[in-house]
Amino acid sequence: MYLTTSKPDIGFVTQQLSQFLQTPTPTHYETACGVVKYLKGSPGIGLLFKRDSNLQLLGFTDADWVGFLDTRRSKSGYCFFLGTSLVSWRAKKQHIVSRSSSEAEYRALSFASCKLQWLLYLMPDLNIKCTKPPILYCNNQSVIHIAGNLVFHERTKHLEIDCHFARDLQTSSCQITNSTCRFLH
Amino acid sequence: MKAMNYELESLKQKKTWIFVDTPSNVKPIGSKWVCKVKHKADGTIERYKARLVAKGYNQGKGLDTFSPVAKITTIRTLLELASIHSWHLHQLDVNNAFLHGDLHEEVYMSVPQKVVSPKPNQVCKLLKSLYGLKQASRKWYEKLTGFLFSPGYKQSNADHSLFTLNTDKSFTALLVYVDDVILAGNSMTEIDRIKALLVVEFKIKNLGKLKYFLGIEEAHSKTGISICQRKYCLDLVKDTELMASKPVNTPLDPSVKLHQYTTEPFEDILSYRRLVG
Repeated sequence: MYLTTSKPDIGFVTQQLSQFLQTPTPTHYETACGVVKYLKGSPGIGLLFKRDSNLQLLGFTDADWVGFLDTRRSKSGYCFFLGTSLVSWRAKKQHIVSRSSSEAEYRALSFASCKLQWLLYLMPDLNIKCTKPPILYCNNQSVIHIAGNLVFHERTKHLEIDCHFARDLQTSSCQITNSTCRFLH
Repeated sequence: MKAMNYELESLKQKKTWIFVDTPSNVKPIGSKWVCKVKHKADGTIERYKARLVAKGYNQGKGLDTFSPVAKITTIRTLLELASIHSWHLHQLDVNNAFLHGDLHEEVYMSVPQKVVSPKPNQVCKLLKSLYGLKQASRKWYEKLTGFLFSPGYKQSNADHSLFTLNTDKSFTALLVYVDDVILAGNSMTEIDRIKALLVVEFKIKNLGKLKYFLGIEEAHSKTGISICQRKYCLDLVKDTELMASKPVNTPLDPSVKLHQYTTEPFEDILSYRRLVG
């Protein structure tokens, strides 16, 4: 579904359905038809890039712990706004099994951090001077503590690479904050 | 028929190949004609198009074929910027883009249909790249990149298909998606200058203000720039034969749990793949 370029609302379900390309069942096909029916109701709806928007990057991340019923992998999702306009979003299956929800949330955070880093590289190339630092929102308290706390615990040892990545980004340029984010599920 | 002649004419103009006697130890690759009807954004017929393609799948492995395309995030970010700063947004289309690439490797193609070689038992030695060749898109990209450096454009490191020119007064960005180009900037003179340069070097079609790019429809208004894919959406609905069905309010029913292999597999796997993939 090439439509994911202007319709963020079907990004999640497309990601779900594309997991079953190998051996789809009638249920999957019906679900896919459901998406088409949904699109039929709003074919002309897309994205609006407002003229009076500011140039601050805002990111939102979330994870769905053990969301895949067959393999018990978790899902990560993020979306990035430049001011009020949505520029980037993604829903993706994590490739390792997480044992706790914080772990899954943390992977989602570091996954979004990668994208944020890339966006930060892109900004100067497009001659954008960000006045305010980018903010990355996530809805999990323990993740924010892990990101802010420099001490490694026994329990976060296996997350080390992800930890360092997000932490480095936090100290260098961005702010990770708590929020109740309703954009992803 | 007319379209085929037009295509042959432009191939001849660019000196795409020369005729040589068939060298021994070389197996020439085949070619064929592909005909297509081009549509406008509203679905009406724009023109008929014929394209001679080489059967690149018979080429050997190990060629350098990578060529970058614009990331969709970059396109959206650029639109957002253009919206905020009220930049000019223009769109260009390069005619026969891939035919511009110079071919340095030796590639032989058997004489295509509708073409007569001067002597029998000859093959075409390709000098320019042809559609269907494995390295075609890369050669075109290399050619364009090399060309853009001379008027002072810089390639972005984050997205290799983004080129920018930054002077004290003006800022111009040029985004390449294979043969489609978006030009955005605050100075009309610079946009006109680069357009004129491109016209001389490549045959480009100036499509004017950005309206329809990669199947995405752009609309400009006072509040901002909006994008949607109405045509693609409706085509999808038509293809799945769900035109008569009732629209639903949510893309995914939260009560549906998707599992693997719980029931019999769906018989028409291909249509599922076409729809989702």
